[in-house]
Amino acid sequence: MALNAKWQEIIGEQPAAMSLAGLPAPEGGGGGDLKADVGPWHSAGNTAGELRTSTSNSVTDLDTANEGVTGSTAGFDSSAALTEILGTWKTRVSAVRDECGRLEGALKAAGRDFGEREEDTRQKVAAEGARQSGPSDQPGQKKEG
Amino acid sequence: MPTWQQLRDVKLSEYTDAADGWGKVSSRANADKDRVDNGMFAKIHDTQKGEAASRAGGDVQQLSRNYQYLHTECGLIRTALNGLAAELAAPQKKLKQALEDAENLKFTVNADGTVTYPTQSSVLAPGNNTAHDGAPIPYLPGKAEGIGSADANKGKAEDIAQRIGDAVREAAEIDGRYAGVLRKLKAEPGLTVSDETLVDAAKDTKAMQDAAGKYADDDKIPHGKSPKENADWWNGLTQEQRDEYATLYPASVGSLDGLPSSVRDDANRMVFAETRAQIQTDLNKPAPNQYIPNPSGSYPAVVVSPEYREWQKNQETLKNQLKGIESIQARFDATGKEGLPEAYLLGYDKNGIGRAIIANGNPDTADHTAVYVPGTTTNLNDFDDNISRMTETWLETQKWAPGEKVSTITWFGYEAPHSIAPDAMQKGWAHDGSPKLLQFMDGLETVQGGADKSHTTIIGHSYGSTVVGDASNRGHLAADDIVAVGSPGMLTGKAEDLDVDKGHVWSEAAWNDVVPAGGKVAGLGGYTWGVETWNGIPFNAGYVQTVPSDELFGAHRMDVDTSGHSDYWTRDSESLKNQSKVVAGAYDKVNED
Repeated sequence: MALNAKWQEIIGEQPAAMSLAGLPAPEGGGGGDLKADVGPWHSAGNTAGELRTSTSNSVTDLDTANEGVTGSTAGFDSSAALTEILGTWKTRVSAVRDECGRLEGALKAAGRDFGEREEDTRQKVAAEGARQSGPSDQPGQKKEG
Repeated sequence: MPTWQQLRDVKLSEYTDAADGWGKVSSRANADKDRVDNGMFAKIHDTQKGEAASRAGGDVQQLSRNYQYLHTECGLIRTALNGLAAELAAPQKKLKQALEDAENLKFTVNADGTVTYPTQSSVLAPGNNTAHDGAPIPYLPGKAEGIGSADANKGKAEDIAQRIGDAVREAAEIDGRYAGVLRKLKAEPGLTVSDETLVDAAKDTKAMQDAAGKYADDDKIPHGKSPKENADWWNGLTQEQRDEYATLYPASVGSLDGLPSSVRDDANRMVFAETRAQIQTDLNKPAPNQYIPNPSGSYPAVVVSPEYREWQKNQETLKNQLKGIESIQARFDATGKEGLPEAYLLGYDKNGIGRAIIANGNPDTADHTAVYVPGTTTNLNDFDDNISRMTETWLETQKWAPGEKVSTITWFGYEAPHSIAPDAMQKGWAHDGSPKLLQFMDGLETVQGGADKSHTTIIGHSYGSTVVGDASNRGHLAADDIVAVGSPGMLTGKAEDLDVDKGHVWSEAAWNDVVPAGGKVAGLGGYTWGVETWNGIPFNAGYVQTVPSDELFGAHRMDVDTSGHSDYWTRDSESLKNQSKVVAGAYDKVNED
């Protein structure tokens, strides 16, 4: 948390705790100001999930790309240097991947807490009802996910 | 240090293969950054209110910074590995040639790089000798010892030994140089991307420019060329070369008119983030001692130290630069708000009064493009209005061009006059600025794929319209419509003289905007023979000076319901609507005299 606080100070954002996991439950302390409407949280959570996959590929790429370098380039200090930094980047990229995973969960959970899921379901039920009652599809139904 | 055997055996393709992997990670991070900015941050920060959104917003911005960091650093590692492989190829080739020559002569290259050769002489006894690289002065290295020798093979062997030695030394120099720069490219632990980290990233970039200068140097980037030539250069590169130039020389690539806006945006944001970090770091430096003993020894006992004065002055400059950065950052963060599209940073410079070119929506694919040229006293330390004028224009234009793609651009790419008097009374600022505007407009036309690809409007406010007028007088202005707002004059007497089709010059001037009259005092208008009218009633005739809001000038005089010199972009105003209708090409909807 200390690092995050420092980052905040540096970037000049208003100080805010960095962990969504530490969010108060909305019924507990959300307050009237907490206007969380449908969709965006889930959608952002989905993007985080996709980024987790994408970043996971980067971890793999770092491994496969650097495989065999040391063996085929013996005697070169650059290869030793590459090995030294490779570890630090694998750690970093893995941390970013995990952060995406954490954000995916946290954003979706936040969305759920704010009733996105219920709203989504309600819309789907409504749309389903409309579909059954009329022959034509309802193009107007908006899915925010 | 590699041995000659290791230099012979090194598989350089391993380095380029590894480089490809780092390149993939870098490019993916670049794309992922956009997804964070537009697919996450833009969604949650504005649609939600409350603590949750600001917390999540902070997390998401940190993620974005991580991707930017990965984009830069992994891109540099890619370039280091490619540069290493490319440079090592030369000594490896040299070594292999020497080895081949040795083999052809039936010489033996020993493990330590010496060359054993059979004596070839009519006078010397047969046997073997060994040649080392390096020869004593004054002889030429490696060759001289053999000269005049009774042994014909001696010189040949020494030459080979020398070439082997040279190749290994060259390889060692290259290896050492790249190893040094690679070691600097270590990732910081954790998820934080601190200012220090970004300042280091900028230093890493600089170090890589020095280390890899032989492989990819800035001189290969076109400087001072036309947008067409810039585009040709870019199109002639492989994707990998493009990525390398963009990460190694972001400032150069970001400023190149004629390159795709997304490329320039990525490059400029890198510069922007690193500049911001540098400014913050400098601002956080502790102040020097404020007081020192009076050097003259008399009253007062202490005086303010020169170091402190200097520091104070720097702080002032840094704070002003930070204000500009915050204005631009606020625009980035506003993406998604009220449906605002993503922003493109097409130019950024913190120095002096600053420079910034910011597009709302991608101009490369826009059906309608508006370029706004701001006027006197424009300064990056007070830039919010200049940005919001174009976001407001973007939002309003949407209404008049449904289903079409719109891009509106704040172009602060010239040294605007610093004051109304005396600066804005002079034409020099326009003469300096207009070539830059012409170049930018030309660049837009190039990336859009031709003059017919996008309907383009230039909006000149105040002295900005003087720049537009001068640009039009000077050369081919790549625009379809010109809007002069609160114009002090366009250095031309008649609308029809401007470089757009007849009937495509538009003017707005509030009744209490004093700038048009002031412009005439300064002589920024143009002269024409004619009859001046006011509401159609003649009041003067002869060789007279005109500004765009004069009836005689011949522009469409659009209705204005805002007051003064600076409110033409007020939301829902007639003034803004009329401009936006022109931008949308909805000419028949414009309300005018």
